[in-house]
Amino acid sequence: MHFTKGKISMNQTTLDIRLYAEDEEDILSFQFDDGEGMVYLNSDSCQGQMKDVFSRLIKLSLENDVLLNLIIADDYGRGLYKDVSKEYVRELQKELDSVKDKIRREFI
Amino acid sequence: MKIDLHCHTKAIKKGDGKGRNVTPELFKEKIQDADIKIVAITNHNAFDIEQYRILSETVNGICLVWPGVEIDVLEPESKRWHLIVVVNPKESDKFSDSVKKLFKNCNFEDSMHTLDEIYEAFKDHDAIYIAHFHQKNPAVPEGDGEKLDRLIGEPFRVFKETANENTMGVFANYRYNVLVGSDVKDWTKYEQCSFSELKLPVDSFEQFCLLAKRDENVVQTLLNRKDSKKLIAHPASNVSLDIQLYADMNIIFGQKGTGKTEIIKTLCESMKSCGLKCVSYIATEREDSFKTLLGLKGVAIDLEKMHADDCEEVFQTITEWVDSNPEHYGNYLKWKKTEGNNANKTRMKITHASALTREATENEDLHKEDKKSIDVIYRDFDGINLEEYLNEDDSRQLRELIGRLKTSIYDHRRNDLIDEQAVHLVNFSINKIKAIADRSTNSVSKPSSTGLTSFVESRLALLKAVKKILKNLSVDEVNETEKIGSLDEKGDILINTKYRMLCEESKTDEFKMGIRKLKEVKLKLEYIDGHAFESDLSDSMSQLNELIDELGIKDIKPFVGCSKQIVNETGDLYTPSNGEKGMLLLQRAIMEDADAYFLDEPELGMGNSYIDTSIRPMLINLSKRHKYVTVATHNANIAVRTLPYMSIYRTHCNGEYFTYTGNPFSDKLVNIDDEKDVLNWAEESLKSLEGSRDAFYERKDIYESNNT
Repeated sequence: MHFTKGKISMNQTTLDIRLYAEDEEDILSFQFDDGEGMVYLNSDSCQGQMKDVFSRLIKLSLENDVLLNLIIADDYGRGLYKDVSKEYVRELQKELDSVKDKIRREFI
Repeated sequence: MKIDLHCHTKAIKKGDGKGRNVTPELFKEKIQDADIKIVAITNHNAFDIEQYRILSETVNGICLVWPGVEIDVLEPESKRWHLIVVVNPKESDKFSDSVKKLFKNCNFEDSMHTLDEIYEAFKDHDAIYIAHFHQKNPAVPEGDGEKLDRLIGEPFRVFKETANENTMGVFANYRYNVLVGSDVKDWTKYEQCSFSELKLPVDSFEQFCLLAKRDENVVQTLLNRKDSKKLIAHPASNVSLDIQLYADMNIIFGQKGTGKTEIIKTLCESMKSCGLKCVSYIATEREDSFKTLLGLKGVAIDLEKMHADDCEEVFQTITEWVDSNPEHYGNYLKWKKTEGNNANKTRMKITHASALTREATENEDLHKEDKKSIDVIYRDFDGINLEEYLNEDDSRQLRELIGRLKTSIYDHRRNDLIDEQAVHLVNFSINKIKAIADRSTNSVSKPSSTGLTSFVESRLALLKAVKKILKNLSVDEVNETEKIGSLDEKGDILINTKYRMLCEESKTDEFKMGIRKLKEVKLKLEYIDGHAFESDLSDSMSQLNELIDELGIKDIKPFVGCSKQIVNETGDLYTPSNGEKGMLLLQRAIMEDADAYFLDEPELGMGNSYIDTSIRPMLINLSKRHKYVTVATHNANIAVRTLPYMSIYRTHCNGEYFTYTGNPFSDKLVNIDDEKDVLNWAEESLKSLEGSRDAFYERKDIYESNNT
């Protein structure tokens, strides 16, 4: 599988989010430039991993309009996780759009 | 009171010069300018009764005018000298006749008289005699002086006139009746002449003579014109002395080891208990006193002066801050799994709703700050009685405008709050409805948020708080200077109190709680400022809050460093020597506004010249202002030349201590436990302060040559 992260414009960037399974683990992987942000969806530490992703997401959104792009691996077959992840990323995008200006006002 | 018992109003001899002629108008103007209260008209070899009357009338109520004459004396086989005769003004007519008779058929230019002739002329007068003396030329030869004393028979009527007031001060009160007169040569410069000062003001010629005679009753009457207080002194813990101090100079002198310092200290305490404001200077404690002066005890930190906010509210935000966690992904899974379990719930769209996010309204922070400001303004404004400053219309208009401003700010703030609370209420309602629906349908609603919004909002609130503190920690330092005193050639010396927020240059002793942990707090704040959205922020916050809690920080005040430095007029640091520390502390004590001043050995470590030219005049000025000035001293210039109303003499013999009180005017020191035990004030002063009478005589020429 090959995932890419492409810039749409100077101020807009697309952050790919991979949904895939590995060793029976369902994983959402945020493809940041400086390394993946892995969230193991069935793990107890999933919340802490998501918090780390939030941190990196906010840093990214300071300089860019971030477009979240969910990519589901071709061989991934768990419908429930697919549906939830679609909804989750949609909600995350909505919230990111609503808070980005607040963050930028504080820093720029 | 200033007196001038050697004053010319007419040019009589060729050498007199026209400048000695004075008009009544100029006489009055100059007498007033010089603040002379008694003047004796003592022209050469003549007394003009008409001019005397006119001048007396001119300054009536301002100054007493006494009749007199200056006579050339020549005894057989002796040198020529000058003698002034001044008489009771009640005898002016008779005096005029006596002078005329003495100078009948005489040439004013070169007439000379013997002492016998002069005594014969004025023996029936109430008169005083003033001989030119020492370096006041032509001065009385020693033998002629002794003859004058013998002829007059009453020593208090014989005075000696010295060349200037400094010399006079040295001779005064050592059994010399000494004075100095203007001997005016040019009336346009009269006020620049030297004058005598009478410590005890007199009202008449008779009173002057009685004072010169050291008449006990007159001295006491004159002393009692000043306020006095009876106080208790303890030279040792088991000894009590009743001491009367005057609102003037009071001197404690005597042998070392007689408890003078303790007397000063306990008199100060006794005076304080009378409710009077006292300041004290103890020379032996000057090192400690200087340290105290530079200490920070009692220094209050005023953030307003630094234009800094106390940040109390934001410190509270920090200590109460908790991180907001993301919504658990599993809750989304549970929602999806149970989504179709209940048809009714599926129809309830609200169970699918997301939390509302809120954009702060424009200028919301500004409205919040303005609301705080208007509350303060309105409170203070309410306390002003406008009618005291403005007319009725303006008062009403101003009240209306301030009222309208307050209403408008309140409206804006209210709208912001309504908006904010509405969003909270909506989200609260959504969550409540979801919870109820979930309970009734055995299903899980869609989470209202991924948690990103609250994650951001909570960190932004923290960031704002941290930024506010860091901003206030970077305000400029404030320096306040206070003059301690002046040093010769170095000018004013000041204490600079520096208030500055914790910075790179800060030193440990600027802070009550030390500097190390405060620096840690600041570093943590700076770290959080740069890493507000780090996932491990909670760890940094825990460490920060532990420190804040340990140091008990509630606001920004602990970060204000305070230090004191000694600086000169140009602001450069200055390190005074031990002697200079004493000078500065002494000046500071004397310059302080108080009712009573208690000084112990002010001369310690200081030059005699400094004491005489700087400290003594300041002490005299205080005494003139009716302040209680009490000085324990071994310095003759202070003990004698300040003419104390009260002298307290301490001595010991064979393990027994004695206390005498008295004054230079009565020339007595009386044992407070035995009124029959009377010492001579001048003799004891000479012994105790000058070393001995011989030592004094050895020094008199030095005094004279230094001051001419």
